Amino acid sequence: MKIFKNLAVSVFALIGLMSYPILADDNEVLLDQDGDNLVLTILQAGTGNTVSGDATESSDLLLSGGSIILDLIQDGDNNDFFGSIVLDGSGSSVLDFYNLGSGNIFDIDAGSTGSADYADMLSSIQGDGNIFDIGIGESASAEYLNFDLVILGSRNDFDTSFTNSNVWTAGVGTNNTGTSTMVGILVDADNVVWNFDITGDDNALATSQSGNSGASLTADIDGSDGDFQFTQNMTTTCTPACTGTINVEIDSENASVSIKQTD
Amino acid sequence: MLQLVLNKPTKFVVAVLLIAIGNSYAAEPIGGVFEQSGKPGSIVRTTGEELTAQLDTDVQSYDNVETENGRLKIKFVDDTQISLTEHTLIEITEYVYDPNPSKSKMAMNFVSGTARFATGGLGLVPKENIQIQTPTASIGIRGTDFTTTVDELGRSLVILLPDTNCNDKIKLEEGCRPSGSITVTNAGGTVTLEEAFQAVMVSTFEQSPTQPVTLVDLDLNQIDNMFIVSKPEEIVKAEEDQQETLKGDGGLLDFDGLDKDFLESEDLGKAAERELEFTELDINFLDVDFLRDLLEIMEEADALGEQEESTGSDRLVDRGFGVQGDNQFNILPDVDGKVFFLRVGTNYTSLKIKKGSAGIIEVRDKDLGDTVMCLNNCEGIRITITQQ
Repeated sequence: MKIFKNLAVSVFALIGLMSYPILADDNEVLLDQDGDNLVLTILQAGTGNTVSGDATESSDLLLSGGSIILDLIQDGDNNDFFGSIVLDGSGSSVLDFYNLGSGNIFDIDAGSTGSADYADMLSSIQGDGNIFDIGIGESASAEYLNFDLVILGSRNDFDTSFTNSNVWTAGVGTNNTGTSTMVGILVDADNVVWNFDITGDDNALATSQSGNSGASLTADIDGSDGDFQFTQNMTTTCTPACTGTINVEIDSENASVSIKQTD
Repeated sequence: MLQLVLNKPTKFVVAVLLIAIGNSYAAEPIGGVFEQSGKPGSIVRTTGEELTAQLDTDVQSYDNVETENGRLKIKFVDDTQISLTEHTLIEITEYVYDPNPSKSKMAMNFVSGTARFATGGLGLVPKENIQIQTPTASIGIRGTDFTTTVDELGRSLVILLPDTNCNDKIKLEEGCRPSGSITVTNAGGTVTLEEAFQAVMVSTFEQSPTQPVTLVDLDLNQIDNMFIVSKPEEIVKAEEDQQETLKGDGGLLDFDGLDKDFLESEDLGKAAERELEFTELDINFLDVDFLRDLLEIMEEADALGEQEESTGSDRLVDRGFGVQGDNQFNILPDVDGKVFFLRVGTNYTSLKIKKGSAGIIEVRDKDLGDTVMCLNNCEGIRITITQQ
């Protein structure tokens, strides 16, 4: 189903913005959009709302084009978002996602079949127990991506799975490292810049940046019992060498952090 | 009646000195912000207090001073001036003023951005007691005005400036003098700058600074963070020359162990015999005293560590702060209220752990092997850093 299909479409979708939350429950936004210069704002207030590609949630929302400005605000609990976004085009795009409740499911694949170069993404999570599956540039390029992740809540989980070696698996005083499978965010791209600000307990997050060079990650972690793995795996030979930057700030009693950089 | 007549700058210095002496038992101001433009930055005290870095704000020892989209100048009680351009961070790691100049000292870290340092003309802090550090180099002072520009990877561009009365090219060609000389030192060696607008680039703590080059067509107003984005052409050329030299000077990059069969050496047998011979002359009695002295030093260090712990200070088990020889991390005790671990190699890795926290950091490096750094009682935060 194609709801929007023109270039330079400007859409403001306001769904379920009601004074009483019970009247705002279980709304659905179905989107299949192809074109440049889209400006789209979706605000869902209440619980149990969905943004996807069809009513059964069996397919993702489809959005492709260049110079896209997308704002999604889900203000409530137990909302779902399933999206596949291709950011082809000459201009850069700005995607801002706000999840302001608990128990939401957020699944996005940016640059799924085409590039997501020069995109500027923000994912702001302010609730507990959310599940996220964020993929960027897994099947196509996503160079010069600027990605900001803000988590203000506990027990948030990420669904993209991959395996890391050399992470903590035992107590202090022995050979502490081993192999662990974690979930998180995976990006295969050059010159990506990520800024993560994570506040809350029991959050678990793994990231992997791969590509040629110039990847940068800055994470500010505040909370107990978190488990974080940050990997930069430069896959191509550079001259003189592939470089990466990881900055981590920690305010925690017992966080577990693994940093792995391969040049 | 005796009347003391002072000019305006001297009055300022005397006033600050009087304030400093009069409050010797309180947190003493060691200077203040005397010029500020644009959006004010911040001054973070060792107590965690954060002040807006506006005009006339006091500066104290151990402060961290950071600009945002603005600039500021700080004047210290010894008349030393530091100018910070936009988005620059410095840490005043120590400032001691004593009526006896030999006991006065100053130490600072230029962490990022562009800062200009001009030593005071009053000579209240001896030059040899001034330590300026960037993430990749130490700068020795011999009476001087210079700038540093430090990028996010810690790479440092150091430029020696001329006297303030000859800051353009024409005057330099007419024979204006530099403001003194400085040395730029790291694990790779030392380079001395002695000419106005002479500059070096220091990329890593291990790699020596580039050969000095003189920047032409440059004036003071051009020196800011744009050098992070676009280096001077002369510096780019110096870096290229350094890379070529590293490839061709018989250094590590040129070594090819396959070219030589060490087993073919005729002297191997004789050399081995000599190695195995043991005579009375091989006993080095000095080693005994050295070992005893070393033990005493370690005991003193342990006592100091226990004292620091009892006062709530952070400490590293079996280590001191500063650059670690075994894994090349530079550890600073207090940056923004956090213990700062920084390593600048091919990759840039930094950790900031809240002061008072405990934890263990295991570093696995393909070249340097495995090392462990332990903060306070080691238990709590667990970190592994793998460099492959």
